[in-house]
Amino acid sequence: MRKFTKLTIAAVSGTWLALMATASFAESTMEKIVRTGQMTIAVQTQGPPVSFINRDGKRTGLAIELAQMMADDMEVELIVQDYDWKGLIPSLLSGKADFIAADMTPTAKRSMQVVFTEPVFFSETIAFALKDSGYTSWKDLDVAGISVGATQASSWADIARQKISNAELKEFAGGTAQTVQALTSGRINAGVSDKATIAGFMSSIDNLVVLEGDISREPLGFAVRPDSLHLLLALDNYMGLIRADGRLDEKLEYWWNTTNWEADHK
Amino acid sequence: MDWLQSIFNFRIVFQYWEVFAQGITNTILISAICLVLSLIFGIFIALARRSSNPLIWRPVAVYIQAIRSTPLLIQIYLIYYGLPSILPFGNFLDETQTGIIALTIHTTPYMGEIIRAGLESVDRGQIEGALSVGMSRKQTMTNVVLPQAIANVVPPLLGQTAVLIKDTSLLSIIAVFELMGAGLRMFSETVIATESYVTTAVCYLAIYAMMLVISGMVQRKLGGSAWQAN
Repeated sequence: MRKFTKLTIAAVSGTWLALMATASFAESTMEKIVRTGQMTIAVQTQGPPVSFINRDGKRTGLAIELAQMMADDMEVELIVQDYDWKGLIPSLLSGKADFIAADMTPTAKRSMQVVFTEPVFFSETIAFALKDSGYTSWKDLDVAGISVGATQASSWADIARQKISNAELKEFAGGTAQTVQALTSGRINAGVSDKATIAGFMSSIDNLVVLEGDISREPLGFAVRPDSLHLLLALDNYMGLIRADGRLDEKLEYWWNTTNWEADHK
Repeated sequence: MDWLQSIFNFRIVFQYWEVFAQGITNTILISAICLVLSLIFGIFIALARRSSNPLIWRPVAVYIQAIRSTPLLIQIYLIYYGLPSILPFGNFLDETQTGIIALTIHTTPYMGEIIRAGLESVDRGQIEGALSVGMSRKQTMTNVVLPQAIANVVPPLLGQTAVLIKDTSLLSIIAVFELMGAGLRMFSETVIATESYVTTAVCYLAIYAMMLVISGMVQRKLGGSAWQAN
């Protein structure tokens, strides 16, 4: 009888553990957020205006504020994990973050690995040069003998490779700051980045000028794991909601379309 | 083979073979030039460091300590952006040439110290013997001391060369395209971390294996039958 009791307890315990494990394994990302009361996002260490450390030592930026606004409305705690670009996707796929709140271009190849939300905002890829360079349009750069800089392995580098193919492309690791540094020290003739990022540099470097014309216009969105359907729909729904009530436009106007953020954060 | 493809997607890796081939070529080329230059300069540094003249060994000691105590990343940055401002022809050097100079300046002290240790490991009796049979000091150094010293230090030189090969990845900060850049390009476009980084690591491993074979051949040539594989 004692043996039977032990076997029964063991069987029940085993079944319970197996059920718990199954339940835990099957838990969706949104269910995890609801259960823990925490929403973890992966952001990029990149610089203004999307994600950066402000003068008070606090991480802020457009992506951070949008995620914070959503977390506040959901009444959950927002946990921000800061990664280099190379660490963003692995952090998402390994489950360390619930979604990526960065300005990622939803290319066809990337969409084979992660799922992007509807575009949250759009960026204009532009070329910039020194004021005395003599270039007026980005098309002036598409000439042999001209060197153009962009962040290593970025979508800007891809665009430069396609649309300014006659110029020599130099890809600098470490972000747009390195490209700007290379330009001001005479190592390249021009750089490629997005309008909002360069606007932040132009306020501190007088000699920079944005060349005429947008090289391309790119949709930028957040990314979730392929199995996070509920969270993906919730993000799309939320962006639609704040677009309708004007809060998204307000944030975009403050962070992306103007340099109003500089007065409070720089 | 579908199960293998689901673990490691060779199809996508193969799409980037040209990018990796370019990266491997650049990494090998930069490493090889830096290795040769740093070995040549390293011999001079080792000899200068052994000099009894303080006007020679003190500046060399300062150079060695200055390089060993500062990060390579900063050295690359200073040489890339600082050289044009102090040299009139600085901007004529392209990124790869600047990278080779930076890596050579960085690696030479390490090579020099390894070679110095090798020189000091040669028995004093060998030198006395060479001098006693009528060899000049130069002949003694060239024909007796240096071959033995180099053979003795091949294992630590091999280790330093492996570091040099990996250090080339830091040149991406000055827009030099090398193996790590190839891996990052694949990752940026496909966002497949495992395939991108494992392929890059395997390529570095292949370069190291190739170097191991070459160094074995060099050591056998220099050390003859006395050489024992480590």
